[in-house]
Amino acid sequence: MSTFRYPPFHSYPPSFTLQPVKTTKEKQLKLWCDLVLSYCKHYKIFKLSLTDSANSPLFVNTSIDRRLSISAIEEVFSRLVSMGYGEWLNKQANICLIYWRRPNEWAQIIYDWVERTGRRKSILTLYEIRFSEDTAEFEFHEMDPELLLKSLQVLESQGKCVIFEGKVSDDLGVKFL
Amino acid sequence: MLRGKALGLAGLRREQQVREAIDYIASSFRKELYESLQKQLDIFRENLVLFARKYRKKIENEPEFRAQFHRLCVSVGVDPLVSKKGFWEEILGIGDFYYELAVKISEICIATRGINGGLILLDEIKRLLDNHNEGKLTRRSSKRALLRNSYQISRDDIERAVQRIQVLGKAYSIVSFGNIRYIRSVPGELSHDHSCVLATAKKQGFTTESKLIASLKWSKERVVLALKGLLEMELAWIDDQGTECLYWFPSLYYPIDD
Repeated sequence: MSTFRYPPFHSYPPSFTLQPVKTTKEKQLKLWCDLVLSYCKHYKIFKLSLTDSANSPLFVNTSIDRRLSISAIEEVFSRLVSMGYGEWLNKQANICLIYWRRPNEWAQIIYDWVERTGRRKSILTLYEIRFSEDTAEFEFHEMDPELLLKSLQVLESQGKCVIFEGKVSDDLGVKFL
Repeated sequence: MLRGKALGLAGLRREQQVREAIDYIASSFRKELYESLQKQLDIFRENLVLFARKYRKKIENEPEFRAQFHRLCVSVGVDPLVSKKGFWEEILGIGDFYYELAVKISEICIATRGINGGLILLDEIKRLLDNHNEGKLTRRSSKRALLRNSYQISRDDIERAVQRIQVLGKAYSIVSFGNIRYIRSVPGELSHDHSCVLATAKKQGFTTESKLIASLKWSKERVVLALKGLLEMELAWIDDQGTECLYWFPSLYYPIDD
């Protein structure tokens, strides 16, 4: 995979200090949100943990010796969530789903795949959707299971599939309609 | 008088003579009409020039009035903004070249405003314009004559363009301090103290309270007040990860993406 190209903003030292002036801070948070989304999209990252990502090159620039503090990262995540580009998965564990595509967009992509490959009326497990060789070339391959479930729930609410619990394994199954 | 239809060769000749006479009268009439319209238009233009001279200040200062004047000009086929060198340029101080340059400059100012708070070094504008000319930026703008001919743009040209574009709005101004020149694209003036702080930070792109106190010989209060003002104008960003709090000015230094 090609290496991610950081924007100039990422090598500007004051970018890593939350700005005291509200208007400047707004711009700054916007820049960080854009960066998080494009970074996650590039590396196909579906969720970030607050504590882990505090040491990620996304929020640390060693060449200028600057890092974004955990509380600042939390503000960035909260901003993403408030703009609909993320969702706190577990507030205690500080894990945030990052929606470089929103669940309804994923739902559309998955359903397109179902239709195009003639999988309507067939039953699949969520595991199969994520790891089957058939999906290897699709963006939702190796997708985060919780995001996949959310996306399928969107389809279910549109009457395009039914999600059910398996009898033997704890993996969920889905029947596309 | 023709009565009935004349016959034979004589009749044909006569018919032709009549037609020629009618054509002659019609064309001379048209010519007269054209000349008189032309004359009226010339008078109109002359008056427009007098009007523009007389109300120049008003044209400059009042957007509504300016728009009306502009419509008036267009109605007689004169666009004060795009006309070539000539009296229109003298009167309103705008010619093709500077107009296009000013548009280019304002595009750069708007594109970078989010980061630099509406203050940009004139040298930075020049650098970006030179990049444009090398065809690094938008395709749309490269269609403009200015860039087609790829003029060498001087600092003087940039200043002139900005001064002229002020006709369109007072937001744009040249701010100079010592030998550093900036283009300010948002309203609001920089005070003497703000300019002093920027001049001190010019070399590194940032400064600190103690550096300012040492080099400007100001009291701490004065330094703090000036920095606070620059922060509030969105011209400064703080960085608390140095040994001392650093104040950065994106208008002086910002990393380049290449």
